[in-house]
Amino acid sequence: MRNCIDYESLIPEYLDGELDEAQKAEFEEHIGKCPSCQKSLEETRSLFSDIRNTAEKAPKELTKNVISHVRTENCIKMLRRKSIVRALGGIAVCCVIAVGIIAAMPIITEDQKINDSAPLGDAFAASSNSSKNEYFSDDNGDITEETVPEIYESVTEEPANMENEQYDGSVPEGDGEATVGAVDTFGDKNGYSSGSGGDSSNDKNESAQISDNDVDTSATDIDQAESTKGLSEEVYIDLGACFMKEGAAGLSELFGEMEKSN
Amino acid sequence: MKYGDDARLARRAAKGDSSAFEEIVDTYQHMIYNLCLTKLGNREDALDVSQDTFLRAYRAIGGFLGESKLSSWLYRICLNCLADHQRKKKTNLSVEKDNNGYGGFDLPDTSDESDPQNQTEKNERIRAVRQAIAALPDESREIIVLREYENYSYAEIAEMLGIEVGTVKSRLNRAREKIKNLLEQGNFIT
Repeated sequence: MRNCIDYESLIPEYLDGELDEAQKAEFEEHIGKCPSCQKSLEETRSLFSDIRNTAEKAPKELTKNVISHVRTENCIKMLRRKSIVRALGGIAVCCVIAVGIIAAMPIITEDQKINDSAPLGDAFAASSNSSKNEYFSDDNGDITEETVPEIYESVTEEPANMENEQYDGSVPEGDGEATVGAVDTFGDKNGYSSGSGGDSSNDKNESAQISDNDVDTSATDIDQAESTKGLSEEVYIDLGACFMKEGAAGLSELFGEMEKSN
Repeated sequence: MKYGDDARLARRAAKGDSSAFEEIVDTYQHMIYNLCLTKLGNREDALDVSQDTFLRAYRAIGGFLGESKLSSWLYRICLNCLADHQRKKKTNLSVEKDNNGYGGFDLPDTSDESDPQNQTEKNERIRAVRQAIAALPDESREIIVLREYENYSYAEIAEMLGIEVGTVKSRLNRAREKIKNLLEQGNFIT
């Protein structure tokens, strides 16, 4: 059996709603018939109410300021993420380009081999009787000493007799000076300096003599060289367009047609 | 707010959903603000520390796993922010002590009271109770805020503070007794 002190100690829990149903019923039963406990209950209720009244609502700017900061931080995060994505995108594009270049390398090399090989030389020859010489003389600077004899041999099979003479000394640009330089890429740099200086009297090397001879050749040779140069450019354009459109298969088809027409 | 709601909101907020975080701030702003206000006794400081609490919470919300209640988690962050604020204040010699620890915060705007006499009495009463609350030790004051202001159950407070329910009950009773005694000394209770 509880006394008033026991019930008074239950007042806070009763007001806080922490009593179970049985305790609550027992407490309410006692309060209903005990004025002293009733008074204590009302005093405590008033105190609790006073305490609750001291609570303040948070100022409106609290939520506003916090959310404003949060949105700003979100924006900064997003911008950082975007810039990272952009950087990664740039790297990816560079990688794709690099891979593309690496992948295209064998095709280009094959294309170069085809261009450098004898049948191609023949094909060019088919497009024009004189274009063959131009083709070799244009590429003088790039042709190695090993490849030259092969090409030369293939060219010698052609019916045009003048090709052998033009091989070493043809003048694509119609300029003696340039010819000396072109020939000297196979031999001596002095040849170039003497040619450029215009004082070739002391320089008795063979190439200089050949170039002099070639400069002396008639203007018809130069014209011919220029005309063949134009033709070869067309052929290159055709080859390029064909390669872009059809790939390597298209190129071999074009070569086939050139050989037939020859 | 239920555990599931807490975790869902926190997950959404962690993904950058500011509306989810706004909901969290709306729900807990009064609890955090009153914890700060009763501790600091100054509205401006209370607002600053409350904002700091929510911003820290937002930055760390990815780490909230939903194992505890969001209120407990925010409460702990708030205590850290209050401790940081106090540390900064201690180093700043120009900051004066608030009425010997009684908290000198102003009265709220209660202009809706029609009778000026009643209004004055009510304001005096509120001021006295506030001073009494401010005089409580930290652990008692926190419990008063969580129970009386935020209406958390004993079990919720126990979880939030990491103590037993019995301890919550005894601390709460002690705190109320002290407030009552302080008010009686000031002749506020009739």
